[in-house]
Amino acid sequence: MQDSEIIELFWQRDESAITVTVRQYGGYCHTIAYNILQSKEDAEECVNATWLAAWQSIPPQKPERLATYLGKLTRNISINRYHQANAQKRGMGQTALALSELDECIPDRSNVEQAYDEKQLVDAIERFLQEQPAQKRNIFIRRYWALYSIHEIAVHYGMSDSKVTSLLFRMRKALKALLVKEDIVL
Amino acid sequence: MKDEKLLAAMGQIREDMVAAAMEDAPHSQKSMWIRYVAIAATLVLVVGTGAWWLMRQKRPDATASNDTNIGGIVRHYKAGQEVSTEQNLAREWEWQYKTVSERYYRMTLGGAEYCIRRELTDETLLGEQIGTGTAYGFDVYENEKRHELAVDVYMVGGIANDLLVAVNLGDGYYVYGREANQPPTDFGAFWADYQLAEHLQLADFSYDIGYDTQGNFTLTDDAEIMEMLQNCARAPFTAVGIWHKDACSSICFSVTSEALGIYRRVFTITDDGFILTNIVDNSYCFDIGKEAACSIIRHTQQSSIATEAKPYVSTLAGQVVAITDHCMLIDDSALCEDESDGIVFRVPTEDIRIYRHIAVGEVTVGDWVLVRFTGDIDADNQYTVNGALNIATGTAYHGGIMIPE
Repeated sequence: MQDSEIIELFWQRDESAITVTVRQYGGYCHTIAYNILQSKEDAEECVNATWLAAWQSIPPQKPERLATYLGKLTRNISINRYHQANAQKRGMGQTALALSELDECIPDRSNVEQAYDEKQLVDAIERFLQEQPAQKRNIFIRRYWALYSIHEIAVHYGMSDSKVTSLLFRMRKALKALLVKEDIVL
Repeated sequence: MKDEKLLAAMGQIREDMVAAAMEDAPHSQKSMWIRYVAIAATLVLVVGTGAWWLMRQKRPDATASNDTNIGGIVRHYKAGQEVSTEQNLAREWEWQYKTVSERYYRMTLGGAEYCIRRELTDETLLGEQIGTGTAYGFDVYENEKRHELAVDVYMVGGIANDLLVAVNLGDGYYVYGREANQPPTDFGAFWADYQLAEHLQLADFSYDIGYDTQGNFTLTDDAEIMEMLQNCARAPFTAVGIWHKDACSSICFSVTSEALGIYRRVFTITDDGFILTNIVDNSYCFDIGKEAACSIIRHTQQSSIATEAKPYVSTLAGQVVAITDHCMLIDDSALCEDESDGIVFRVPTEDIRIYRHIAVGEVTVGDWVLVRFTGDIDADNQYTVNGALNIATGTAYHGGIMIPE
C-alpha cells in the first residue's frame, strides 16, 4: 500500500492503518529501536509506542515520508527509553558507542564563546552532510541517526569494519572543525 | 550530555537526507535498489542511492586485473556489469516460508530468556541435557501470533548454561545466548566463563595502523599467543570510550566459533594495551597493559604469513538456466570477458532459504539472479554453491543485470 493511502487511513481514523503500518514498517522501526536499546523486548515496547504516537499525531500531521516519520518517532522514543534504563547497565550498546564517538565532535568550550543553539547546530550538521559524497553521508546518517553498528554498516557496504571506522573518524574530525570554525558550542 | 545534544541534533536533520540513507535499510519493507556491478577487478553490489557494496574477492594467484574470486573460483568478468533490485534481501518471510531457526528465535528456560545465535553442526560440543525449554516466535502476518515449541536444551562446549545453551529445534542444534547485563570483572573471568582456551581459535587477522589496514595475515600456530593471553587474566574490564584505535597500531583477529555461536566476530589487541572484542554480543574491552599487548602483537607478527582478506559473504551472479526438484542452475557466461569461459553453477534448492524464492514464484528459468552464500563453490561437484543464504532476481541491461522487486 502506498504511504499516501496509509496516511489517508490514519486521517479517516481507520484502525486498519495501524495493521498496515505494522506490516509495512514493523521491521524497519524494530531495527532502529533495537540498534538503540540492544534489547528485543524493549525494542518491541518502543515500536508499539511508536504506533500509538503515530495514531495520536496523524492527524494533524501529514508526513511526506511515512518511513522517516515513523523512524523518527521510534528513534526519539527509544533514546528516551535508553536514558531511563541506562543507569544500571554497563553493557555497551550502539547508543553508548555512538555517544562516545560523537563526543569527539564537540569543540573545546574554552575556544569558543557562542552559546549553544540547536537550530544552528542542526543547520551546520545539514550543511556538513550536504557537502559529503552520498555514500559517506549515508554511512554517517546510518551510524548516528539509526545507530547501526560499525559492523552492520561494513557488511551493508561491503567494506571492512576498520574502513568504516576510519571513514567515520575522519568525518567526525571534519565536523568538529566546522563547528569550531562557526563558533558553535554545545 | 553534550554528545547527547549532538545525537539529538542528528535526529532533527532533513528528512530527505534520512530517507536517502535509510531506504535500503535491511529490515525495511520499503522498496530498495541494489546495484550489482562488476567493475574491473571486482563485483560491486550497490545498495540504495549512492551506496556501494564493494566485494573484492581476489585470489592470491589471480594476477589479471579483472580476475574475481567467487567462493574459491576465479572468474574473469568484463567491466561494467550492473544489477539493480528492489528486493529486500533481509525480509520478514511468511511463517510457512521461515526456517525453524527464523521462527523460534527466542527461548525460555526456567524463567531465563535466551536469543538464538547460530546453528551448531558439531554435536561433539553438546553436553548433558539440562531441561526442556520453550522456543517461541511471532507471526507478524497474523497479528503477531505467538508460536511455541517445546525443545530439549543442552549444555554446550562446557560453558555455563546461564550464558550459552544448545537447543534442539528438530532440524538441528542451535546455540542460544543470554543477554549479559553485567560484564566480567576481568579478562580471566571472561576467559573462564566462555572457555576461551578451548573455543577461541586465532588464525586470520589484519594488522592496522589507526583505522587503516596494512595487510592481512594468518597465524601459523596460536598456542604461544593463547598462553600469553591466559597470562592477562588480571586485566580489568574497562569502560566505554576506549573502542577507538586512531592513535595506535593493532592486530585484529576474525573469530568464528561453533560453541560460542559466532561468525566472523572481532578480537583486537592494540599496542597501547587493550583487548577489544565483540565475541559476546556486547563490546568488551580489557586493559592488559602496553607491555603485554606489544609482546602479543610482536609474537603474532613473527608467527604469521601474509594472506588475502576474505569476504564476509560471497556473491554469485548469473542467469537461471534450469530449476529442478533439487537444484537451480545458474550460468554466468554473459558476465565473462570471454563468454565461452562461462560456468554453470549449481545451487541446491532443498534449503528453504532458497526454495522459498521459487515457491512464491520469484525465481523462474531465464531470470537473472544474485546469490549470497557463506560457503565455498565445489568445482569437483558440478560447481555446487555451498551455504547459500538468499537469492534476488532481476533482468539484465547494458550488459549487466537489473533486479526488480
